[in-house]
Amino acid sequence: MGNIIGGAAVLVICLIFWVQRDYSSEYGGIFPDSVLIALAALSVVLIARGLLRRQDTGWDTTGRLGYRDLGRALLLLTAWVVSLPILGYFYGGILFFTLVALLMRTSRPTWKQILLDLGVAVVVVGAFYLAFTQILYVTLPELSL
Amino acid sequence: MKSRRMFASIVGTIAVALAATGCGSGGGGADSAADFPQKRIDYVLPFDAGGESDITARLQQEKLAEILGQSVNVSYKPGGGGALGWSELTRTAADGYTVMGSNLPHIILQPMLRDDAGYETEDLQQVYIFQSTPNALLVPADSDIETLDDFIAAAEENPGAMSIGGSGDFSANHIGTLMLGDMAGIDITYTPFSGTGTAVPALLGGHVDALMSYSPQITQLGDQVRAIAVATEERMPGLPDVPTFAEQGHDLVDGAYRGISVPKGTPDDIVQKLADAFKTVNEDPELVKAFEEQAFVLENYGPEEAAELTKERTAVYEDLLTRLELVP
Amino acid sequence: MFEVLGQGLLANLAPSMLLLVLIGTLSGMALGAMPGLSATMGVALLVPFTFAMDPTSGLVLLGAFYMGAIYGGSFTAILVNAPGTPSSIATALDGYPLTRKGRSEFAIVGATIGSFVGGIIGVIALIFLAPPLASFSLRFGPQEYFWVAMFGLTIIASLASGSLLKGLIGGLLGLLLATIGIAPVGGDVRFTFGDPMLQGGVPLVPALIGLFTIPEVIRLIALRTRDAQMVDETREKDRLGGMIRLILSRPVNLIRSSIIGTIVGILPGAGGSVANLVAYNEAKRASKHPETFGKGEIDGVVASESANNGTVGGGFIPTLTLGVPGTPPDAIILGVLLLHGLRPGAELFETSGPLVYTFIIALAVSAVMMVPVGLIAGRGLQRGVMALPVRYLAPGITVLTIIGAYAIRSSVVDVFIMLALGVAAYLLQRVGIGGAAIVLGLVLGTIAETGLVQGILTSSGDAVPWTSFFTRPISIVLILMCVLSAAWPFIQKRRDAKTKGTPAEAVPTSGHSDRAESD
Repeated sequence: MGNIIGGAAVLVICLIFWVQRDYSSEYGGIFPDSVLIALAALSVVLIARGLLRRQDTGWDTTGRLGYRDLGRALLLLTAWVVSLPILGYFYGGILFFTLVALLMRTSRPTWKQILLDLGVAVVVVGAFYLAFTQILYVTLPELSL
Repeated sequence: MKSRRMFASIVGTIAVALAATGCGSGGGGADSAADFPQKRIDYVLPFDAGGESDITARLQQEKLAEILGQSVNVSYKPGGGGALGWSELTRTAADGYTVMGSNLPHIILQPMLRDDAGYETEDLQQVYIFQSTPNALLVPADSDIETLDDFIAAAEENPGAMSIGGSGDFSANHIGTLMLGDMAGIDITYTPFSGTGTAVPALLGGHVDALMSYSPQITQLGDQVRAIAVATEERMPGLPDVPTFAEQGHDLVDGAYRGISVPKGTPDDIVQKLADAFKTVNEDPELVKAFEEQAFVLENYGPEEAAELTKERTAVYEDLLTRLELVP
Repeated sequence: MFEVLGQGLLANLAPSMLLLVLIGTLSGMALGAMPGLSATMGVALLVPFTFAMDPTSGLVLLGAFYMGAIYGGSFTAILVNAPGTPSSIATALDGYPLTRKGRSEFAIVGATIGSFVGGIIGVIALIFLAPPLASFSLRFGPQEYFWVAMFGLTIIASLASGSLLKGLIGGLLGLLLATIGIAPVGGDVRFTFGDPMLQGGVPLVPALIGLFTIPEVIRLIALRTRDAQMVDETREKDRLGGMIRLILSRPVNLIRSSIIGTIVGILPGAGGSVANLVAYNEAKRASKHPETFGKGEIDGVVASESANNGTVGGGFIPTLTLGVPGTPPDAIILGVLLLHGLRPGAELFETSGPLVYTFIIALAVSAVMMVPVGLIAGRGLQRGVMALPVRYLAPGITVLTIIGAYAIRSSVVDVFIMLALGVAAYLLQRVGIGGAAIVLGLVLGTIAETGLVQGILTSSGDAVPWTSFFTRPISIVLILMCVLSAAWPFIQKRRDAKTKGTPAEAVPTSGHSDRAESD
């Protein structure tokens, strides 16, 4: 099944690119078109292999994660990144750093532990924030509600 | 206990530091030119670090800070041949605290030729144009081509076979090549490279027959190349031996102009204040010397003059590209 | 020449000069270790400071900084799988697996020794072989760059420890990602999904961080623990002296990789991002145990880091002799030279000999200083990271990835791109398509396309422009190298089967990624 799903996913990607084809110069399409055609051909081969050789599942079994754990990780990261334009680097960083640290504890955190994690978050995020904005003059996203 | 107290004091220190910086950048509600600038000015380049714009900005940085009384910070926002930065500029607050390098003909040609460049030429308020680099036609030093006539004769012999390298698509180099082909009535092939840095070795290695490049390359490359024409009205002071296109019978005068822009809608007096600052920098003897040594041409176009130049060049390019059927 | 060389050496031994080199090297290392802050940005940041100095001191500071920055990129690649620059991609391929096996200190030591040797060999080439190597580099035209990129892509054959088919699909996906944005030749606006932001294409550093680091962060957060062995254990043979001896006991790898780095560094338009990958591939090909690569093989780390520091000296060869910058940071240093009225060319070495040789020797001094400084700072950093509880390590890495993806273009969109690619990479990994092949395609795509289209344009005088790709002498050599490289894994399998008399399927054929060992 892994091979079939993987091949189909790549075919969909090819399709998404193919419908956007619009070249204005004489040779602007040579390279992307060749890549698209080769990629589509190989993913068809992959699907065919999945259909013909059922005993080879095609899944990468190493380092498999439970759906709940995976979902939690993806949700946290997505929320962190999406909130960046709103909360800014500093406040969003502290909030999500603390959240991730707390949720990665295996036992129910005590108040003391929550404060500790918050403190670490402030120090780490604050250090990066100050280093970039004050020393390297890289402006970072700011809080804008 | 002890570690906790230390911890609290660290947190406290950081909080205070942050509060201080936060206030510094958050303030400045009343935008009147008399008080401008009240905080750091961001000088953004829509190109990668290391180009000619970068070197120029680094030279100006300190002098600008002296004149404006605030620090000036140079940063980069490269992509799409500058389009990414300029499109971002149109969405930036029109308060004069973000100024961006802007080049002609880029800001004319990108909106003209792309369906959606992300900005229009008029969205950018040009503040000042401080330098230009005229086009120059170069051949390898050991080439048989000695003059522009030789070059044209060679191109006529083999239509389409003569390859001219240059920096980028729809750059001044590209337009210059198109203009030359148009004026001389020859069929030449333009090959764009990702910058002058990669175009030059292609010429030196003989992979292209000639290079449409910028005047600083003539002095920089020395006797490795022969400059057969430069696209100025009169011979350049630093290059008395290099003839112009005009004196060889083809009235080609064009090049790239570097300046800075702010978003449209920035108050006029702030624009003027910035323009005055760049004007003063352009008169600094040290800087003038550094520019001249690199065969940059100093230009002094204020906001109105820059707009006029843009209008004039737009007409020229539009006419050329329409005749060549390159405008979509 | 030797007289000026001696003068340069003496100038470098002055305490003030040594201090300057130390400052440059150290700050370069610190900046290089930050993903998203490239050596180019760092050097540009430093330029205004050098205006206040005399030309020699200014150039020495910039050169030392550049050398240190290229080395510093290895730290994050090894410790958290975040290659700080494209020059350290191959370092992560084996450096991070070493970290997962509890051998991160060994990896840091290997990177340090490799960077030192690479830096020195690059400088030696710069001193003694600059003119002939510079004219050799000019023989590389568009066609040759196309074949160099193709040669780089053959690495997929050896990267894909699992299925070759899936490796190829990954590589092609990378090539496809590279076509997003303005076409490098022709200026077509392609595959922007209607967003003008994507005209700039998929930025390399956020993509690198996304494809390599984010899947690891996902795993750390989901599992809540490190892998069992990720905590370093001290073994008898892991004493510093033993580690250094072990690395130096394979000098061929060190020297070969450094030479590859130097040569690729000379080619403007290729540079460190290609050099480290090619050197890695050659190290694997030459190895007696190629199957250990990708699973924590110190030779892989050493090869990659020797090569990328070799590009420093190599890149200065065309910069100083032709006035053509070999790498982006060289472009800035070239600009500084010109501002001081120093014109590159053969005569520069004669007219401004003392300055040029002081600068070149300072690069070597910086490479030497990297060893003690790197062993102290690098191992200190490594101990710190290893001692950090995983619940702080995971969000700490995330903080770093966000800032790294953002800083290169000051753009939030780049952070989104990083996360999207990271999640996609995790999912593709599940079906056996590894991130390394995608990165390879992304790095080489633009070089390949540029060479292809430029080659057709410049040979438009020929009856059939295509033929120029197959008739030029260096192109033919490169084509042969491509064929050999692509076929090598099969040749090796057969040879193994013959000598050992065992079936060639000793390595699991599919469904296993490169991290089989740690589970």
